[in-house]
Amino acid sequence: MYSKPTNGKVTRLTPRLLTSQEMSRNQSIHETLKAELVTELKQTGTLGRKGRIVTTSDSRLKARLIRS
Amino acid sequence: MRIQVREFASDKNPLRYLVSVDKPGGLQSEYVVEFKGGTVLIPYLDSYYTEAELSENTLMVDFFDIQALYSVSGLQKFEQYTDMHFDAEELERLFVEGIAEAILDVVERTGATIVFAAPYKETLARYYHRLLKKYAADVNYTYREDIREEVNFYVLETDKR
Repeated sequence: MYSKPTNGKVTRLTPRLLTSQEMSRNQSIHETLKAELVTELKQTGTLGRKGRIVTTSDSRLKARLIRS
Repeated sequence: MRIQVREFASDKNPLRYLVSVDKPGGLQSEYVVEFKGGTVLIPYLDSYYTEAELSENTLMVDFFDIQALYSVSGLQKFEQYTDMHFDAEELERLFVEGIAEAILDVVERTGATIVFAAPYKETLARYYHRLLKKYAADVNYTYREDIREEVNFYVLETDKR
């Protein structure tokens, strides 16, 4: 599905599907990060130290739960 | 549903966050939000940005269910997986008030000008697309749909750029 052309450009309204190569690439990125975390967990027994709480009442973003 | 985001630094990664979710009935889950930077990111987006910006001011983001990591590691954290039974609205809150909150914080801490994700599932990619279109402009970030269209990385240019 495409939008009407504006300024000579046509914008796709829904993302095109991942190609098999892109899916494989992204899966590899994810699995590499996951493996690094698992290795760290095995070596240290933990993944981090609980620190500063980021969540605040005046967050810049709040989910707008009306479906869009 | 209560969502709390906090820093979760380790010696290997000071840019790590923990998103904790509590739901009525005692349902709890935790997610590690992992940011990765450095020269390793250069090959992914070198058609769009300079090597300097990619190596010094760019972060890749991904997230993991912490229970799954413990399970894979062979260490025990919980007896079993917790099915959180997220409905659509709760899932959107998890992403917006959890993971996006971590992104906003890490950008403030580091001054990162680019943050990108590489979803490996079609459903996740479509969900990212919908949320980025819906929320990025609210915080003066630019969602580079053209890059998504060309190479299927989901790129945000932040308000630090």
